[in-house]
Amino acid sequence: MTKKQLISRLAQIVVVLIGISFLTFLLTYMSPGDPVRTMLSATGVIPQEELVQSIRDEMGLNDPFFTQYFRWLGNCLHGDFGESFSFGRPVAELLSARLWPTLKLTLCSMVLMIVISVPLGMLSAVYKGSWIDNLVRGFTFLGISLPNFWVGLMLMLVFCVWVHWLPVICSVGDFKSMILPSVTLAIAMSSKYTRQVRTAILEELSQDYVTGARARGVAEWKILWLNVFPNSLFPLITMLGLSVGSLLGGTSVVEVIFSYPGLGNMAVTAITSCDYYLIQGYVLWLALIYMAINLVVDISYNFVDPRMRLKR
Amino acid sequence: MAMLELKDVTISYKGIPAVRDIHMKLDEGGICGIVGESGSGKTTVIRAILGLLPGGGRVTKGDILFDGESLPGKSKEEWRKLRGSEISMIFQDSGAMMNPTRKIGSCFVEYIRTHEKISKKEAWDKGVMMLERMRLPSGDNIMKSYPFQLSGGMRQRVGIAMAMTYQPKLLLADEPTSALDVTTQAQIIRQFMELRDEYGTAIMIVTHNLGVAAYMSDYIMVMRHGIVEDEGSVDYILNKSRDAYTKELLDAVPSLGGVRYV
Amino acid sequence: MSQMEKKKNFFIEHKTFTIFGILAILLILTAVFAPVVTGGVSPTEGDLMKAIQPPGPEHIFGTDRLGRDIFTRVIYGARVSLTATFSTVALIFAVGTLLGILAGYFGGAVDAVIMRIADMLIAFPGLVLALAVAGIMGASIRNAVIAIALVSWTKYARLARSLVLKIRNRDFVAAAVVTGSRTPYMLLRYMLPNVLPTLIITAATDIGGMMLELAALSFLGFGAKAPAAEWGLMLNEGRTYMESAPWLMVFPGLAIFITVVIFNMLGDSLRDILDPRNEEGGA
Repeated sequence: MTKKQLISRLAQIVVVLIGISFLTFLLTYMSPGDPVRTMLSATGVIPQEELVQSIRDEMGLNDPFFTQYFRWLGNCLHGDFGESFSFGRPVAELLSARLWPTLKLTLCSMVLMIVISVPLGMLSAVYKGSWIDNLVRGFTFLGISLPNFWVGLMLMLVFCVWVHWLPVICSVGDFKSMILPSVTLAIAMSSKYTRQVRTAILEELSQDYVTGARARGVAEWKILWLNVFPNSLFPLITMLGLSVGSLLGGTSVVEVIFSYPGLGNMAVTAITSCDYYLIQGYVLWLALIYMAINLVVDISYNFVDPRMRLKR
Repeated sequence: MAMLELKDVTISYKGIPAVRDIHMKLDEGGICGIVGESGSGKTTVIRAILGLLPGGGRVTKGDILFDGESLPGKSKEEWRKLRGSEISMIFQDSGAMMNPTRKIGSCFVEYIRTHEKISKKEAWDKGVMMLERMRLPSGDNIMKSYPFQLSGGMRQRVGIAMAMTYQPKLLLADEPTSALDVTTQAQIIRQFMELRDEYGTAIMIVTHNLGVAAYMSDYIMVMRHGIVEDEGSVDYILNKSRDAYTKELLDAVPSLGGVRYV
Repeated sequence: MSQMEKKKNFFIEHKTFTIFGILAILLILTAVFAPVVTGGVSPTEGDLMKAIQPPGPEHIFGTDRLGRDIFTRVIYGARVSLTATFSTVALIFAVGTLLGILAGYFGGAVDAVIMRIADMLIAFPGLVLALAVAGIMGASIRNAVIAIALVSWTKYARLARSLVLKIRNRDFVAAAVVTGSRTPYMLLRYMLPNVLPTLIITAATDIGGMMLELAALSFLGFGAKAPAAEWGLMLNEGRTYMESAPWLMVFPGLAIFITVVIFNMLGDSLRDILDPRNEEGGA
């Protein structure tokens, strides 16, 4: 990636962030629920019209749309994402407290996913058309068709309720309580990823240099492990970066099932209680994290792939 | 006994014959040209000799004998040991036949150490020596380059250097000059001829250019639609053949001052 | 060979497609004739005296906490699920194709605006946004459909656009324009037929995934609302009784799983028939 490309990527990220912030703000603005009424009801106060209006004035909710939007955006740039009324604390503080558990969960399930998918995908590609390939493809097919929240519930039923091996409710520091959520996420993700690994390896195996190496008599295992596998890492890492997106989104379901104290779980609470600042903050943060990860992935190619590094 | 003999070889993909009833002999130091347009099955023939038929291709009839031993009857491992030592192959673009993310040296060393138990350093030196023997300047620099950093002609020389490392008895060349400009083409062809004179290597060259084949070969096979349409000595093919297709190919060769040349 | 025989051979040749096509039709018929299949039992009214009964001869899938028959609810659930899924796929198919064709055909500012919006949505974890949209607009199955459509149309738009760009500058298109074909005619006669096959394959393979996403939204409480019989919602209601009444979770989950398998198989086999080159099917 040249400097010019890097700058355009950064500019693109800024544009996307502004677009996303506008979209979420517009949606909350147009939404039927009134945050002040919800907030008052939540604290047990009967929302009288006068009281509601005075609070709305005070919070600036009666200002024109763009005034509200730019005020909020300006505050966000200063790190002030507003205050969450359902948790009674600043959004930024809440998000940063919940970020680590979710990242930890994402990381665990990604490691699991890689451990499952890479060997299976490679086996499937190398023995394309054999019974191993068919078996692996059968499993990935089932995995893709399984609803992950159901898998989570069933695992919970078996391991927590029936055999009592693992705790039903998760606490963050506890390794045991990480197992089921990670496994649940990994099952769905690894099915998809196994297919992608298979495709990437097959693609790489069909390259001319593989024929070249065979013509030189290089052993099959050397071709596979020292040439094909390292080369297919490039597309695989890109796909890994992209799958972080579905993982970050997918955690919310799993976090709810296992009462895991992460971002997704909090987002669901925020959404059900119309906690708009928190929702907006959550969406913006995740967008930022996701795009940052994918930018880092793309930049890292420059250092790894000689074709990119040495291009004039 | 001929060094290489194809006895009524039929090669099929998924049961459908692609090449039928090929019969030929090649002696040590001989050069045989197979000429035909793409899809005529000429590449399939030399791929079959090397045991590198893509996608389920198999020799379904006849036999290929190398030094009197049946090649299709060999185990995968036996065949692998032959490749790159007794029989080598040169492709249209040797650069593309090397891993694009590794330097040429790394590929070369991997190759040498496949056939010889020597240290990486020794293998490297051997590689440099081979490159310089093929008249490539500063072999060390080439070893440190990536394939895509070299010109087409240099890449092809690197390919020849690699292929000649173990002085193979048989060199299979698949359109070795088609991707090059005319001047480089002539140089590479001359280099092939020298290999035969110096090492006694037998060469089987596959090309769509009858001019190239005629210049190099002792014997020429013209292939079309998977069968041998016409064959004979160079003199026969150029001057005596009455085959319409051979004449068609002959007319396609550019002539210089009335004399057909490379 | 007669027309009938040709048709027969097609179905014999493509066994997977035939089998799962029949299963899918059976499934749709079950949903349509739910009252007949369940023998007139109400999916939303139950007998509190018969709450939380395990599967038995009277209630083959058991009953829930309001005494409602789970079998009946699972069957009726197919209605909600299939309707919502087909609407979602139809919506993203229509919107995505239209925008993609417009972007590809007109280029310039139209293209820039549409594709920048698409880029924005793609550069973003889809489910997160769908969740936020569904939640903000209020929980209902209709809003869940809109939320998922809002983040999923981009794939179709990009595909349609690239396919249109491929033929946009061909001679026969230029000839048609020169001979005075009007723009709507151009779009319908040349552009649409060119993009449809690929997009139909994509839509067919997407049905299963869309169904899972909708069920997930309902499970989180952002889709169907009680007392509707919807599989995701049933799972959510059932999980409180995990210990005492696991059947509340097992059957709706199985229903989702089986339905998704059928439509995924159908989509994959359709793709294999229409587009044999693309047998790998990565993502």
